[in-house]
Amino acid sequence: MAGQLENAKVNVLLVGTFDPNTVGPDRLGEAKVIRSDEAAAARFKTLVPGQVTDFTLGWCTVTVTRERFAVESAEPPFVKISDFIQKAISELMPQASVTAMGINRAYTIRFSSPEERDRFGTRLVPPSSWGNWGRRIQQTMATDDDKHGGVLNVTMKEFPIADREGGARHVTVAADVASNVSAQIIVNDHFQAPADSSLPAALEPDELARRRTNVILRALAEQFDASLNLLETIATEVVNG
Amino acid sequence: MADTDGWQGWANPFAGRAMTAGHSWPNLFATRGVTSTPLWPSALPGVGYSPRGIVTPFGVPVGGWDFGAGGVSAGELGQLPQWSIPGHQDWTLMYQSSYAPDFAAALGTVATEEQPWFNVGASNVTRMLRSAPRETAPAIEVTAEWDGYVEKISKDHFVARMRGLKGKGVEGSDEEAEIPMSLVDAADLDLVVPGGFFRLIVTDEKPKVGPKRSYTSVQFRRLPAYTKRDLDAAEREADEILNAFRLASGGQATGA
Amino acid sequence: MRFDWRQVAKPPAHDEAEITVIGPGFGECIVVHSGDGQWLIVDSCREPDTKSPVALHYLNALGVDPVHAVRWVVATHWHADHVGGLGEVFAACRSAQFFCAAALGEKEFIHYLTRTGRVTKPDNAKDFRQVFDELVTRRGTPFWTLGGRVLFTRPPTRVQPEFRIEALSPSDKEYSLFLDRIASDVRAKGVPYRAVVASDPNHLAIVLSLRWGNDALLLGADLLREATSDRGWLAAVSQGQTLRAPPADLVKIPHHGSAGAHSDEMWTNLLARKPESVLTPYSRGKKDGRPPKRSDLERISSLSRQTILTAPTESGRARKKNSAIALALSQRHIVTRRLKARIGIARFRRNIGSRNWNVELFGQAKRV
Repeated sequence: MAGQLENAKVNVLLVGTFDPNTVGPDRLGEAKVIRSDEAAAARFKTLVPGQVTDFTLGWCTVTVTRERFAVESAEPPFVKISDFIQKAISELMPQASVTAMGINRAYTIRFSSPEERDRFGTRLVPPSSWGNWGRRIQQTMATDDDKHGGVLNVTMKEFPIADREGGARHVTVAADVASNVSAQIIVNDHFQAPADSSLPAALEPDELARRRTNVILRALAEQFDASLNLLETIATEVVNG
Repeated sequence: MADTDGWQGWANPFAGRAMTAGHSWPNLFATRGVTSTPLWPSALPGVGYSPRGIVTPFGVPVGGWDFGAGGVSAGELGQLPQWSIPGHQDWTLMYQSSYAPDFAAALGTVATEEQPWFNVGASNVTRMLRSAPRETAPAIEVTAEWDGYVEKISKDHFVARMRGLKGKGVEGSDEEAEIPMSLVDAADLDLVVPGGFFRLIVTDEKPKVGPKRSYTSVQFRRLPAYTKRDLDAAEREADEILNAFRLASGGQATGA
Repeated sequence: MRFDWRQVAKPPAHDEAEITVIGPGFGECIVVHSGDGQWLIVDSCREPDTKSPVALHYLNALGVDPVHAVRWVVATHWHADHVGGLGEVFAACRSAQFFCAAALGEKEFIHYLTRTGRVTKPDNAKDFRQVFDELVTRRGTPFWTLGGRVLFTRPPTRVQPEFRIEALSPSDKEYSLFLDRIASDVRAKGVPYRAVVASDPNHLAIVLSLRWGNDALLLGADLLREATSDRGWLAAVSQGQTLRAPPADLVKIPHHGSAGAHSDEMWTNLLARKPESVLTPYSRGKKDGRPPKRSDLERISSLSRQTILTAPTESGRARKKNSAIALALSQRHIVTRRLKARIGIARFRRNIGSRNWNVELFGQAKRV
């Protein structure tokens, strides 16, 4: 194997319209979205009333702004992220409008040596494909000095996705500038709410927004596990080549 | 490209103002002219974004940001009111990843209160970044995972039906399980009802130092509750089926 | 090892009655040839490897086209454990009538179906809902069944006697008990989503008597013995007497042969002396608690000419988990049992009007 995947984190990000005031730890505890002891122990990172609510619970970080709702965790079972979002939105933010969702997995790729990392980077993005300039960069890799040039980050996109309308998948691999034996890989599964043109005509705007939201939340409920499995598989394939 | 500064889309509570620091922090933004190379172009909605802005959602620094021609002086920073949140004095700070100290060093930037802090547009949210300690949490690997629901509850255990999601000899299996009630956290006991969903996981934790440890845990799921809308929609659907049956048998449909 | 359906490939003759019981160890399916190329399917379960319904596998192996040949589909229960795949079966059997307990046509139950199906996975009521959806599409309606109803009569011909399908249960009392139970379902506003579990009682089980002239067989479903005459086997026997059901010389033993389903009145009043008995063992739950127990088999065998099991009485060996996983579970005193079904088929055939059944056993099926 080219490298070891470590430090898995999962993040689900919704894009749309949200009310950050409605998802503080206290309210979440009252609604039993989280346990009361979790609510009591929550730590705020940022709080700007009406604009940003950003706090940590024992197992996750929650960030809500007027346009974004994100939950991130490094602690399995990751389905808790999906359950948290579904319950918080359906019970505390029924007026929320969700237009898109990203299910994201991130790993650190740990290599056994700087050379192994370099081989990985050059496999993904061959410097020789970048003309003489790329070949000069490649020559710097052959020296003993492990501070040399190379790919900083690369992103690949899959589109369209066979089993759903809209949406895409992205994989980004980025060099870890702080370490010469690791890199980061982030795999994203992007879901897009249906266009208004595909929903029944003559619906009120609120109802349209609700239906769009329901499509996304249903995708979250039904596809979360499969998506995480697939993202892990993709990350493993990218690392192993 | 819209949102390339990474902050567009995030509300700016300070329009025109900047936040106070009062400390000397390694300033990731003090390098003027660093090319904006957002890892997540925000033209891709739904792609993981972070209020940390500069970097990936998971705190990995890969580039710098040029926030525009304006700047915010330390003096201006000092004008801001202090905000406080119970239990957290540093609410103005966004935590960078564990790599921040090295990243800052790699950029060769250290800021002081006298220096202009940021090359930021006044209309953008400005944040001060402080390095978090390097991650020391152990790496967690899920070796097996089941999704299950409670079928029957006894005094000291419950019987469940489970479907294997991950693990050798586990994935794809349908299993019945008897699980001791003692494995359920006291705060979750009210979720142990017939039909209640849970996850059973076996994980390996590999600390930076020391041997691998294996953990088994049962986590009951907090799923959404039925809403009036759910129940009304279900009732309408039931009425439609019943009316269809009545019509098919030559009867009259009734209003829903 | 995967079941090879080719071994069952020989179809019955036109004038041969057939009852084939397919029992993987939980869930069962009965396929009946009533003669003249007309088929009945009772309940459904899935083939363990392909997950597709065993009834369709079986008919396909015989070269029988379910679209035209299957005339009746009966659900003696509604829960997925008993009717897994029934939605697909009914969708394939486009000429079939659908029979189920009348209480399942009440709004309380249909609302229960739609309520549970909206939001929870796994969806243990999905198959039943699929059948109802298919009926709506076909502009059809279920044939609502109560004990004492004649579900179908095929008039006699020159060469074959009258064929009848009669229901001996459920009773009126069981009908109302079921609705009370459904009405007390907790899924209300503010209650978190939860799975449908199999803890509903078996009171709605449909017992069927199939008769060709004076020859009959009895399909005992999961009906239990109850203390009062308005429920369980006492009520079913009473209906059988009212319908003048001839004594059956072949019986699908109720509820996996459990003692709680044994009824002396059933054996005395509805069955011929020493009938052929077939039962589908239940391979869920603790080994020593699963029906049929050894005492059950002894009791049934003493009353029967021969007793056939469609599956072993113990569940199959589980696919081995990784040893570290198995150790982790055992350290926390978590006991798991794999629900791996193994196909066993008992097929009974005879010329309509003759006395003796020819018995063939396939897969895991065996004689006691």
